[in-house]
Amino acid sequence: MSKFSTICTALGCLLAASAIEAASPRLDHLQPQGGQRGTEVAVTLIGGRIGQDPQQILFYDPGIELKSIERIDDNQAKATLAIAPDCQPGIHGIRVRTLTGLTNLRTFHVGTLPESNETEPNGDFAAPQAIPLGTTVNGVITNEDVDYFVIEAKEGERISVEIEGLRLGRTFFDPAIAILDEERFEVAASDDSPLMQQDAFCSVIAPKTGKYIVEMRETSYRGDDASTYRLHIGKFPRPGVAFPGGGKPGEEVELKLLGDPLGEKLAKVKLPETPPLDFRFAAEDEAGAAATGLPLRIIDATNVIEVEPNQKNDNATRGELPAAFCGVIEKPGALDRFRFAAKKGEVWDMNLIAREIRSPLDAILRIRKASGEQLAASDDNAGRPDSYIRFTVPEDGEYVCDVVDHLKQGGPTYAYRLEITKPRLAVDIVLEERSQFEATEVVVPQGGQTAVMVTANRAEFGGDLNVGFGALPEGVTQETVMLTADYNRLPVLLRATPEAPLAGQLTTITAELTDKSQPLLNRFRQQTWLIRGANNVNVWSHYANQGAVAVAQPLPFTIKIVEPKAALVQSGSKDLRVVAEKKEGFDGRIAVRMLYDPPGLSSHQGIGIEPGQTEAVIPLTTNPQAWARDWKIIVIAEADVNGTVRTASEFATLKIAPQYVTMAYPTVATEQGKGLDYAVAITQATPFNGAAKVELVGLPPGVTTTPQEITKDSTEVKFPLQVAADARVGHHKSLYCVVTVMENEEPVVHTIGTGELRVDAPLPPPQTAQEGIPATGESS
Amino acid sequence: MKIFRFVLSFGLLVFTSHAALAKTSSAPGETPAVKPEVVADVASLAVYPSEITLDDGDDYQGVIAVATRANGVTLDVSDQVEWVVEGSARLEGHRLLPVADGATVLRASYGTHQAEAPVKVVGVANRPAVSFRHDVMPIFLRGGCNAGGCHGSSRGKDGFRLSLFGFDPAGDYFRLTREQAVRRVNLSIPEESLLYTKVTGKVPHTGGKNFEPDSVHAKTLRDWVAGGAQSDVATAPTVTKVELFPPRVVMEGEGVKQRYIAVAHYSDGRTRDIGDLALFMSNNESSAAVDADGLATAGARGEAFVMARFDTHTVGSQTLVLPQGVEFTPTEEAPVNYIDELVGVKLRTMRINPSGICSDEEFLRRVSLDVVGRLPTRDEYDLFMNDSNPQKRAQKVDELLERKEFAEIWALKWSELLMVKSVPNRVEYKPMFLYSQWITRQIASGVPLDEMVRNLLGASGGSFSSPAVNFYQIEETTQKTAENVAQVFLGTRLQCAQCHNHPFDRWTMDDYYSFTAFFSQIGRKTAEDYRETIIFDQRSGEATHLVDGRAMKPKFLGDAEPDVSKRDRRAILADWITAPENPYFAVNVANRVWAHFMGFGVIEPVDDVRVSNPASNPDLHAKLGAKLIEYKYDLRQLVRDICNSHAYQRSSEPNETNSTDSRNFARSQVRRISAEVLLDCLCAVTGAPEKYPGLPMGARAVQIADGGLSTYFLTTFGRAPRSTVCACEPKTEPTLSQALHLLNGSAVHDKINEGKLVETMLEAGKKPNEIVEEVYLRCLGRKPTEVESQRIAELYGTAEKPVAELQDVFWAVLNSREFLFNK
Repeated sequence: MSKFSTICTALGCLLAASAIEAASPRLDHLQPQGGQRGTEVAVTLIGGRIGQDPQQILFYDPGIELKSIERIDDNQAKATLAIAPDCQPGIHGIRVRTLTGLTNLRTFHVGTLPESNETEPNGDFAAPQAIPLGTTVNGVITNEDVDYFVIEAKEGERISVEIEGLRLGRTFFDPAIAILDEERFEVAASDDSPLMQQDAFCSVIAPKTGKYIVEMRETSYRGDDASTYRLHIGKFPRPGVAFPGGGKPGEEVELKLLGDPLGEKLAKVKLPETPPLDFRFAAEDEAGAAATGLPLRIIDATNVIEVEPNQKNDNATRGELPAAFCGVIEKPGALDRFRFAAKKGEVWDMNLIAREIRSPLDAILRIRKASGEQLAASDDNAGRPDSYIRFTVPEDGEYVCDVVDHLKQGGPTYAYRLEITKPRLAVDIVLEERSQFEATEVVVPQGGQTAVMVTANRAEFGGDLNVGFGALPEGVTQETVMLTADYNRLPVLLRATPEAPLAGQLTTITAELTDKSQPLLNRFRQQTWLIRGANNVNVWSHYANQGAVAVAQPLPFTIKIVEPKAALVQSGSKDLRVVAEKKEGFDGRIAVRMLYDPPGLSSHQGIGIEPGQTEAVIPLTTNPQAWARDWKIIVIAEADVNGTVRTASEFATLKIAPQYVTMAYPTVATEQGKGLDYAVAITQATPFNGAAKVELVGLPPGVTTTPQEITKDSTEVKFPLQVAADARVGHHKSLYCVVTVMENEEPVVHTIGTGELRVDAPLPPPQTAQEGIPATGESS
Repeated sequence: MKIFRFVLSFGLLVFTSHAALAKTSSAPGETPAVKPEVVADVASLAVYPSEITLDDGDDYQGVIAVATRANGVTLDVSDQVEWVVEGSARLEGHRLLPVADGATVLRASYGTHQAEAPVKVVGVANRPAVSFRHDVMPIFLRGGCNAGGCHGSSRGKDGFRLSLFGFDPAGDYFRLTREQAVRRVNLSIPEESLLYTKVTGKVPHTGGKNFEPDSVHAKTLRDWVAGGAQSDVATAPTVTKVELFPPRVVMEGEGVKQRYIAVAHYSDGRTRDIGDLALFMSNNESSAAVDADGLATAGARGEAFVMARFDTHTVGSQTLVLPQGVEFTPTEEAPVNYIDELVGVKLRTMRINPSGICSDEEFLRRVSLDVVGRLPTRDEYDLFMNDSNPQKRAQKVDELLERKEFAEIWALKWSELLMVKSVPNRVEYKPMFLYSQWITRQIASGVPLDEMVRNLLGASGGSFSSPAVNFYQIEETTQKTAENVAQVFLGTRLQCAQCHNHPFDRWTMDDYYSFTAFFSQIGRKTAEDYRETIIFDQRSGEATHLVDGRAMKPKFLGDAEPDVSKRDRRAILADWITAPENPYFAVNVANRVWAHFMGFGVIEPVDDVRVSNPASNPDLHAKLGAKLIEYKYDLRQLVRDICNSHAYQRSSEPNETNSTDSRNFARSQVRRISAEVLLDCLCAVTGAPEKYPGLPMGARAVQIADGGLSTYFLTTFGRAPRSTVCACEPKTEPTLSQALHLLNGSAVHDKINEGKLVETMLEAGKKPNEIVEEVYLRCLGRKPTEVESQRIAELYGTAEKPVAELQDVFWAVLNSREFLFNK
């Protein structure tokens, strides 16, 4: 750490020396990464440029308040956080706003126990670090490290150990824990768990009064300086699953907490009216509160709890749709059945929810007619262990669903919910990543603008949509376009007035049908990739239903598009001109690129306005399938102003049109040295003014011609081909024409192909027989 | 008494009827004219085949008579005995021919010894047509026509292809008769068929002239064509068994001859003399060469396995060759257990005396290295050497078996066989590590081997939560998995039978694909953690035969077709493999254990069990397997038996009788210490441990989980790369680079400097000669000899703290062969 901070400090000094505020602050990690609720915690925020004018922390979840934030050095800031006593334990996403921008998202972890730190050496079983039962230890597992902690417990007392390692989101750290007695016999051990994925928990009853040693290590004795952990050791309840795992919005549900060594406990929870993305219930009793919660589903369907035995068609648990059939596969090999009536033509979505509520069950769902005939089955769905069937009812009647475990396993925590609901009209909205794996934050410079891309995928409906941000910081406005029914992406331009206060807030993006004919379920979700595995597989991410928008200090440049006056045709090309206005004192390179390319268009990604210049052109090309319509385009400009800053142009219209002419190419043949006229037939589609230049391209070496001209009345263009004696022999199949029509003094460049020219070698002169040598036949 | 046991052990079928035979004379003209010279010490006489059936008018059966002398030597006395047969059959030379339907007895008499064989004659009126399946196809094998270098090549030869060793009779029939109309088979003029003209050399043939035009084989081919070139591929009875007589032979003296007789049994109950159709081979031509007609000639002293191959069957006969008139006095030694008894029997048969028992020092070092992979410490040495208990060796073995290093050594062995290693994009480090830990735990906690194999082969679940399923992740292809299972657990290499019937074993392509069918229903899916794969029984998927695409039903190797409708096929197979009745599993595992301690197996290589690679001591081989079953697959108990036996505790010094023998465990085998153990020993004696990534602090090389991870030292010394299941992977052959690495490389030199053993001992006030002794004891498990002490003392002279000199001594000891080898 000390080495790192020295480097950071040195870097910070250099940055400070250049005297302009730094942009694009980063939040790499927090130290400590969590705190006990009901306390105030001083946290060091570490990351590039974060110490330069930190202003605010945006909290994604309620319960934490920022008391103060101040610079330590350029790359570190100190924040004091007050965690409310009723704060939900577990993961809390945060971003930091500085004067110039917003950091990426990182997570802060709220615990329920007093905090302490690991103290090395604690790697010897015989000399473990002593801690009170009821402590959260913040530690790190360096390479091949093993940490031992000793606690004292009384016989019959519950010892619960939960590790937050991978879930801290720092590195691909896979912890394993064990509770050992003094003789080193294992009381409990856990490596992975369905509830916590790679993280682990143990909850056992102390078999006797005495010392217990908690072993903490990386599962395969790896680790590094980023393998930090929060180890919660206490008497708190640590159930594995809450049954029935959810309910209706606003409903008070009685939960059975499964997997507690003290036996099944009951708890009541009032579900929120508006479900958050990830609603969790943290178990709590007189012995304490769990460090993290159990996920619950909130959907508009009544819970139907299974009644055992229900393994047969005639004792299947009955319910009326829509319903959430809830059960537990209690024994290995067990089968649960549910029965309901449905009418021909109805469409039902059958979601078997087990792993989503972190049950160990890997379910197989089967739907049958009451007569027994199987209609469909599902094991996994969309790469997840839970099952899904879209069921279109074939005839009026009774139907039965089977639920079994894929490996015929089972146990008291193998809970599930079979949610059978009508498909809902919904839009899945994503704020597109600026670059892969980098969640986009929106930073609008005062007196300037920025632009982002939004994807809105329609589920179960079609039609034009209005899409836009919800609440925005004061002084920020947005402009966007209507999202036509045939497309799912749109640009959003956000402007801030010069007077807009420097501020930030979380907001969402919504979509509605332009005719408002039907309500849509809006599902906005932003993924922050925290840990990726081999081949960039998602291992741990944070998901939020809000995005972050902030107003930052003004930029020393603006950018604008010189709006094209002529169309860009399919299979055509065009140079898009952009002009920058640089303020006094700034002459850095400004990288410019299209915010997005409409379908069938490709734009050059590596263009910049170089120092000393104020203009650049972005070459655009289209393929034959480019969508012909007027597109609202935006150009994004990026520059390094002590960190990357971005702004956007205003909207400009780019018309993509069908080609003005089409051409029919003949296939012709000639011999080396024999010229010919190559005539290409023309069909006019869009009249144009004046003469258009036509060049024939793709001729083989040794064949030349001259450009021709056509007008809107031409039906043919003829190229005189000069064929040299050494012209390349063969089939030359990629002849095409470049037609340049002038429109509003701008070229409209078409590429139209393709034709074939065959060049033959001349026949050899006929041989005459010479004395002694036969004209044909084998020589001997 | 000894001789009696010896004869019994050969188990010859002996007919010694002194009754009426004695005065019976043979029919005139059918017995050898010369009165035979009778060898005096003959103890018994036998006639082969011991039962004869002649099934049609053209049938015949060759016969031999074998006399066994009191010392166990066998003699081919077919020409010397007086043969008598009457009634339904007659003899023509050594060939028995049918006369009329009925039963009779073939009798042979040799001096006072008589033997007989019952003869049954049926269907004399029948003259069966030439069979494509059983007359023509065997000619292709016998003539080498369908060998890999000739028409059996996958592309054929000179435009004509036969299936390799005849694995596809239907295809061969098609190519002969239909692929090129008229040319190969000319029904109008059979002698013009290429089939006939090529083999008889009438037209140019790359393969030369295979048979004379008047030979029986050429005639068979011509007759088959003349008879319409009929196919009986679908209808012909199958060969159920092939017998080779005599079953065991002991020849004394170079040049002695023995004729072998091969008899085929068919599914319709018929038998047939296949002397001119079977392919005769010997696995040791220098001891017993065998000609095309089954006549073996004794060569140098040794042991050979004479084999006959016919159809898909290969059978063999153990043949010992002893020098003429060797003087042999067996040493008297009370056997410790069944091992010594069985090894002793074989040694006495071979007229070999074992070496003496090794010294206590040698034993301690040997057993420590073999059982726990560590050198004895100074304390262990002192304790053991000062122990006067006569049972101290057995106690030491018991003590070592309880150490966890024992489990680690066997976990390492199993990890090599099971190819435990991470595989990019398939097996991540974590599941591999858990798999390795699983194996170690199974052995450490004493899970019986059969249970461990059932746990492994029948495993389902996630590769984290059920690490045993990684067996199916490290190798994903169905066929390879089946091959690996056969090789690791049954010691059988099935690979050949994927494309053609096994040329030296009984396995056919049908066997191969029926066996792979046990693994054709393995389902795989990725778990939530992308590094974890879930293996499950997907209840669908079949193994299809390469030749005709048939879906093959699961069938145990050489055994029944089980009902697989209710359970996971893999679990059913695992039950079969580990059943006490299984003829392969227990003996194979026991042989691997044996090979670890003795340097080589009773069958060697241990994972190449086949008819043509028989056990050097079949009784010992069988007994070891039987004992393992008796011990309920408790590895430790078997190891205890081996380590307590004299066979294990022998000196490596050869004596006159055993100096050339390397297969019969007459002396201890000097073995290079395996790479991992050697590195651990080097670290331990120098006090300078290595650090291996991904393992807890203080881990040793034998604990390295990942086969993909190695160090320069381990690679140089032949660490198994775990890329195949072959037992040959760990290499212990010395190489130049090993020597150079130890001499010039950093390993030894740096470790001596790192460990600072010499310096520490000097500081502790030890005298140079004490330090030299300590170094010898640590590294070699013995004290320096007087000569050594004296020569070393000259090196350091009177210096009090001769650090450099003592380090040199240390270095020299570590570079000595004695350190690198376990003798």
